[in-house]
Amino acid sequence: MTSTQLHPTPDTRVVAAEQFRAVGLAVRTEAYFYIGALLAIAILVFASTIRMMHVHPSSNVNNGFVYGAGGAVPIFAMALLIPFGVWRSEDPSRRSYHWTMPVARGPHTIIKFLCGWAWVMIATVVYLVFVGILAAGLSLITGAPDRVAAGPGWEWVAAFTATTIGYLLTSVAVIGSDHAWRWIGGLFIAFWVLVGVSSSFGLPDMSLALQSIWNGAYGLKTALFGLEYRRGWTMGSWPVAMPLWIIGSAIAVAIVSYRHRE
Amino acid sequence: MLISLDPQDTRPIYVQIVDEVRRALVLGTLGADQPLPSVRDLAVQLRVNPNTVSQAYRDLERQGMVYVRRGQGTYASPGQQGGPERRILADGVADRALHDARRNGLSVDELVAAIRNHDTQRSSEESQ
Amino acid sequence: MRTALPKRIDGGNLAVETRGLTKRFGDQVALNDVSLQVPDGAVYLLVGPNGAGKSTTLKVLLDLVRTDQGTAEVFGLNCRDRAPEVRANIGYVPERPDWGYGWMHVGRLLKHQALYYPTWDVDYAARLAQKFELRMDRKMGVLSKGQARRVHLTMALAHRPSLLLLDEPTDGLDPLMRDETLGVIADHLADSPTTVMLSTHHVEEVERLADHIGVLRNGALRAQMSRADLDAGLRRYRVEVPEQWPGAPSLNGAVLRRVTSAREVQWTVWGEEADVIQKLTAAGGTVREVVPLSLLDATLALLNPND
Repeated sequence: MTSTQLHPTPDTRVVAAEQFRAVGLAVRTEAYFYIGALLAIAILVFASTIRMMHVHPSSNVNNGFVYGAGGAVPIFAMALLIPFGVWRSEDPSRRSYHWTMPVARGPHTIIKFLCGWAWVMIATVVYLVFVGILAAGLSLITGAPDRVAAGPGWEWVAAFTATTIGYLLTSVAVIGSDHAWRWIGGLFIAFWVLVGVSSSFGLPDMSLALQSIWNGAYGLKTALFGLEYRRGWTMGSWPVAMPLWIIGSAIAVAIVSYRHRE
Repeated sequence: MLISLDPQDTRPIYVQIVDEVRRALVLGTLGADQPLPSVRDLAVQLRVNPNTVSQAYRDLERQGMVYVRRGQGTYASPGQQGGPERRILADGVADRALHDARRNGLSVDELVAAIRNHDTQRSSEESQ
Repeated sequence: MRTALPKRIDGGNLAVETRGLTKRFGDQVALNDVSLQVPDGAVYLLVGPNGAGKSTTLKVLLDLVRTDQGTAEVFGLNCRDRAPEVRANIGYVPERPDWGYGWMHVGRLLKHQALYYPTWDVDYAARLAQKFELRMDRKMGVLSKGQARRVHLTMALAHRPSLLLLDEPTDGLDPLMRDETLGVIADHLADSPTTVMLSTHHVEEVERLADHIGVLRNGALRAQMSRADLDAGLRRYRVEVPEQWPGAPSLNGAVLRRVTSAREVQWTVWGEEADVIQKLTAAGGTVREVVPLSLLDATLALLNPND
């Protein structure tokens, strides 16, 4: 009788390990592109520094390379794109292979999401190491002190939280919808239309309220990079804004992951 | 021993397999104590459900045409070229012929006469 | 005489049992009170026109589709509440060719599948890959429909699941590969005790494999029975009739098909042979021929829209 030999479901650790490897494979294209971009940036920075040194010996270049929280923008941009690689060719309407596996769907989606996040964290480390090497290299060439290594601590942490938030936000769209780009694009357009409309209709309060979603004390920009201050960045209300946005988008990811779709 | 099934035959598959084995036994292509193909091999060869092959083999065993040696397979019983099996085969041929005759509105006598006539014609052709 | 077509399969352990599955997609009824019984070890053929609900039924078992009403059980496990355990025991070949990560290479995908199914037989997978002539270094996304189908078959069979759900398993395959596939399935059945539910348009191909049949039409189960019962109960009668023959009204409920020409009528009737002959003769006809039907002809008769 066939039913006496029921087969077991796979071990969760085995599933997680395999998803980590599989997701790594899936985002290979993005990885190659990114490494290429970093190398290009490095070459550009070195080339322009050397040129500046020859052309304008007394310019600011000699003050050394400073890393501010805003330096996380490149890796943040990468983190925004990674979910498209993680869920490549698997829009919800075509995700049935993932759902046919002998793992509960909600948790399985979360596992894949977390594996993607692990790769984002690895990429962030790679990026910061790259920044460090770049700074050391520049300081060697220009003779200016290497100020990156001595930079404030919170900005290194901010790199990881900014990429986390970026990855979370796009994941909501990619996991939840067949047309993630439409949602993201649509959201942007809707936001700026409302801001523009409220400004031109003389509704400064509404306009400011809307803009504070981005600029405000607990806005997204603050959560990502802190408070922009002269030519640098300072914490501001980042310690509150950042966890808020992480928790909020994490909840959204959980909702779209556990929602039943066909 | 090669077994092939007629795709036009609408009888249950296991019946067809039993008949094919019977034919092989009577004709001598499957000799006494020779092995039949394993259930699996025959199922794969004919693209047939293995359960159906098992059913056929059980039927053959029940009728005494084959015997099973534990752990080794199914073998043809000796002495199968004789009368009883030949009669069963003849019975089958007759049944099909009568069925066909009835379908064409012919009586038994007409059929028998036509058979003899045809046979005489064929023998005279062959002797030329 | 109203001989209803059998809609229940009774007796024995059931590998799959559904009770009153009902599903609507918008205002389209996909499944209408479908109650199936698939006995343990059966090779159950699901037939029906496109859109009849065959694929949907299979997806319900995998919890890919959730019905509005009704329950489904595989080996006694509820398909919705115990979905991962159910899926661990199912080998699925979907209708769609783009299944599995399109960007992954065939070989890598098989390794991926192997990790999800602890009972994966590496040697068997290798033999299947060879038999199906799989190219391990090609990406899934660039495969033709037939090539993808062969990968899916390997993925479904290699872990020797107790239940195989095959949705158009030979679709897109050339005749040689179709024949090979049937051989592979026969071989697989001989090796591992397996229950199979398969849906195919090529009914003649599975004539020798299927031992149960379920007929779906417009989302409803029209009939369900073992092949033995089908062989015993469905016959084609060729009857010579006198001129101005009024017909045989006593048969009306059981007639599935009726072809007339001048003085001859061909009936496909569900019922006991002796009973039908008696009724036809009593009505004035002369029964010339009684033949059982091939699976394909039986299917066509059972699907006949004239109820």
